[in-house]
Formats: sequence, C-alpha cells, structure tokens
Amino acid sequence: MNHAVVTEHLADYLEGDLELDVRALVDAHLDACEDCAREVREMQQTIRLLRALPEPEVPPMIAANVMRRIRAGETRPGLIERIQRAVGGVLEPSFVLPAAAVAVAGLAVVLVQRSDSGRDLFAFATGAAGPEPVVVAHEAAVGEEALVMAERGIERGFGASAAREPGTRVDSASRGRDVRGVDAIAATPSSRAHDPSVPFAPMSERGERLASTVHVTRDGATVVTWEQSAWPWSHPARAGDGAGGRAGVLAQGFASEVAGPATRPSNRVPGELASATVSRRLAPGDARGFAHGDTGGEDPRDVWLARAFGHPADFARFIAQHNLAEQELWVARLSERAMARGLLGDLVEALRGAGDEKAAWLADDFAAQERTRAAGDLDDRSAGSAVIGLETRTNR
Amino acid sequence: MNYEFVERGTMVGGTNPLVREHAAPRVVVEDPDRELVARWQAGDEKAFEELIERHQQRVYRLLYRMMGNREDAEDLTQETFLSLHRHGHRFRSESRFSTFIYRVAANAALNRRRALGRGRARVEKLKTRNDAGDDLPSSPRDPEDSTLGGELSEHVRAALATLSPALRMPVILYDIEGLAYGEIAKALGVAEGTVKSRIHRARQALREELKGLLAAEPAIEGN
Repeated sequence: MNHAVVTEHLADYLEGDLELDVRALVDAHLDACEDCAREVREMQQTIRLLRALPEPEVPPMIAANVMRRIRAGETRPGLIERIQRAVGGVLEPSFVLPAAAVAVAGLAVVLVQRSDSGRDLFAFATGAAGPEPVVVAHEAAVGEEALVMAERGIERGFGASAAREPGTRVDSASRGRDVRGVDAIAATPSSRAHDPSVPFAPMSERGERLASTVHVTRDGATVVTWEQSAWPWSHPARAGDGAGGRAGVLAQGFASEVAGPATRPSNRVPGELASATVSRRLAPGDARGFAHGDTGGEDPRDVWLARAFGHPADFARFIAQHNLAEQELWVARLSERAMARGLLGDLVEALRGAGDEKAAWLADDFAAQERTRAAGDLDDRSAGSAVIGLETRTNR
Repeated sequence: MNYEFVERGTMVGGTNPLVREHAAPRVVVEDPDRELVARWQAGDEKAFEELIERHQQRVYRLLYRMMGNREDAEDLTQETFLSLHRHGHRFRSESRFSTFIYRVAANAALNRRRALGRGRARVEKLKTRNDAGDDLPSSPRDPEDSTLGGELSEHVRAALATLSPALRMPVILYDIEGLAYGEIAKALGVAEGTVKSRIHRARQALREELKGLLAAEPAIEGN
C-alpha cells in the first residue's frame, strides 16, 4: 500500500465504505505514514466542522407570505401554460422528437388566430421569435415554421373554410386572403429536390427523415417544405381552453377528426390519420454548424441543437416546461449529440449568453453533462445495475 | 420514463438517465408527502400550506448555506414555494416530493448566485483576515460541543462560499443536510458517481481553506 492507493480509497475510507481487508491495509499504511495520517485526520476534522455548523433560525411567516402571494395571483398560469395543461399528454412522452413539436407548433398556429398572446405562444412552441403574431406562409419570418394545412383530414375543423377546392392549401392564418400556401412562396423555377447540404432535415417522430422539397424564393431565402403527419394531441374537448372563439372550435374539430371519439384517452394518434404541410424558411445562420459535416441533419437531435443555437431562450423555455425526468433526458440526449459533434461547449456558451434565467439554468445542466462526460463519470459504477441503498443518514 | 424505485426506497440502476430505460419496471416510491400532494393537486390550497410548513425549514437551510445570508435565503425560499405552486401540477410520484423540492430550491440558488456581488466581497474580506491570523478562535473548543462557536462557524461558512456552486451544493446536501447520494443525484440531475466525486473534491477544497483551524481541532477517532 502506498500514498496513491490510499488517496484512491480515501473517500470510501472516510465514509466507512471500504471492505474490511482493504480498510486494514489502509490503516496499516496510516500507522506508518505521517503525511497520509495527517490528511485523513484533516479530512475528518473538515467533515466534522461541516456537520457541526449551527442550524440557522428559520424566519417566521414564510408559509403565510407565500400563501398571500399565491392568493394575489402570482402563480396563476398564463395562457401558454393553460394550453399546455389542456393538451396535457402532448409533452408526456419521455423524449419527444422534433416532429412532435412541429405538430405542437401547428396547434399554436391554429390557436393564434383568436389569441392576443398568440405571439408568445407561437414563439414558445416553435422556438421562433417572429415579429408578427399571425403567421402567413409567404410572409413567414426567417426561422418560423408556417403551418399550411393540407386538405386531407382536417376540413371539418375549418368550418366554412373547409369548402376549398382540392389542392388548395389552407393557411390557418390567412386572415381572409386567398393564400396559396407554399406554392406562393415557391414561385421561382429554382425548386429542387431536397439537397443534403441544406442545413435542415425534417424528421418524423420516429426519427425517420421525411421527404421534403427545397425552394429558393425570389429574395434568395431557402424554404423547406414537408408533409407532417401524426398529430400527437388529445383531450379534444379541452383543446381550446384559454383561446376560445373559433380557435377552440378549430382545435376541437381537428382533434376529433384525428383522434376519434372525444372520450378517447389516448395521447398518441396514429400517423396515417392526419397530415399537414409545414414549411420552414431558413436563415443562413439559423442552423449554425449544420451545413457542414457529414453527420449534419441525419440525427433528429440536430434540429433541436440548431434551435438551441438560434433561439436559446425559447429553447430553454421549451425544455423547462417538461417534467424533471424529461428535462434530464433531453439534456442527456442532446448533450450526447452535441458532444459527439464537438458543439457542447458552444451550446453552453450560447445558452449562457442568452441573458435569460431559464437558459442560464439549462446551461448549467449542459455544463454539468460536459464535465461528467469529459471525466467519463457517466459510465461509472453507478450507471450499472448495482443496488444502491437509499437509506437516509442522520448526522446529528 | 422508467424509474427504478423498489419499495422501501432501494434504488436500482443509479441516476444516469441514459441507462434508465433498460432498467427494472417502475414501482412508485414511498413518499410521506403523497397524500398532501394529492390533496393539493386536487385543488386543496390548505394542503399546500401544510407542505410549506413541513418543508420550509430544510429549504431555508439549504438556501442559507448556498447564499450565505438571510435575506437571499428567505427570498429564495419564498420563490421556491411559489415556483412549486406554479409548476407542481407536473410533479408525479416518480421521486419523493422532498427531492423534487430540493431540485427546485437548488435551481433557484444556482440562478440567483450570478447576480450576487456582495457575497463574494464578504468572503474576500474574511479570507484576508483569516490569512492575517486575526480572528482565530481564542480558546480551543469543547470537543463535546455539537455546534460550532460563532467565529468558527463563520470561517466554515466562508470556506463553503469559496467553493463553486457545483461543488458546494452536493457537500451541503450530504454533509449538512444528511441526504443520501441517490437523492442528491436526483435533486441535482447528475449521476450518482458524479455526486460522490464532487463531495470528495469539495471536502478536499474545504480542508485546504480551513487548514489554519484544523491544527487546533482535536482528532476524531473512528469517524
């Protein structure tokens, strides 16, 4: 037994977690080595000092003050949260891939029509910070995803507007104008099949790459268009909560169309039940780092990473509204991907630099992953199938 | 998601989210707060008040250790419970409610510290005095005494404040609050092995900070 071995076992020695034979070896070394003995002694003293810190006195009235603030409405949910609650199951799966969120964005666009807070909602759901609450396909700002409803499966929801002729795409936010959807955008002859160099690849919920077309508009912007199916929301009777008006009816009709009877509790809708066409207008820098490298766009997580770089604050809000376990999964999976592509450090910086509380908090989570992955900690013993006692110790 | 709690709180599979999905089927964890939480989630505000009464002490203690002053600790304690109230409908009994609270409180502390300048200044001042040899306890403490004297504990607090929050939080939760590794891992969202190694690193850093005091402390036998 030498210094290095004692150092290696020190933490477990201090906790009394060593096997008896190893412990005996460490003890024998400590008897002979004054340096190591002093280190152990000082560590024990440090621990003892920590455990002997006096308890602070808890100020009175905390509960009363909190309850007063609750009654004053400080915790009342805003529109976004009410809608999230209403659609409940949408974000329930342990790891929602981008396509599902695109579907949520679709819902947002539908609701936006009658909602003053629609802009927030849209920005929240899509990660875009559009200047306009209403999204019109051919006016979609860079980074926004304009939802253009396909005729299949949704006419009922649109009521009067459903009477459009086949082939006409209904823009949910057309404000009465006759918008011809993506065709209006793609009025140039430069349309072409999807080109892998374009830094955006729509993915299905299962992570399959979806067929898409790329258009270049007259002003030189790139627009990717794809067919999106599988609308993962349910609770049709409540889908319009918080939005009211026609939007509520829209969402209801839509949901019952795709989800079947209103009482059906499922929060998953088979993909063939409905579809919509989604177009996304890309900014040159929107998908930072994704135009290069052979892995770009092949993994569904890349879309999320691009979003994190492009709109860190909105991305953080999106992550933060999951339950804690889901948040962990998101961070774990995304950091794994970012690490593989050498972007994790940049991602942490982008989040930190957003000047947003939630983004900063998320940055911490990613930074922790960065450190633990760098140290190989994530493959450590605790990750295996060892049974770990969860007893609560008492220090006092 | 699969949580691998077995009854009586034994956990299988650690806290690494990457391996959870391969692990054993989930059993809902035993939670002394479950009934109150259920009542609150069903709309009973009185139950929430009881939850505050029940947990305010540990939340305040943690935040006080993290922030180093009463004003911030009290402020953040209120924020923690408001945040719980705002988002608690998402809490499901995958973990103990108390662990969930720690996570919310820990996030509150980590978010707040960035805005703090004065805590750092206070630490620097204390450190200078410490280095100059002032301020050491004038008489050896009674080894039987379970709590530290005012000055000594001020030194320990100052030493804690020199740690990065990523090290400070786990050592506070483990050595001062008495949580087990698994609970800390859940509360902080990191792997259990990470928790262990951070605690050890934190203690080593504290030992360096407190070296001047340790010589005066009696040795402890047998831990």
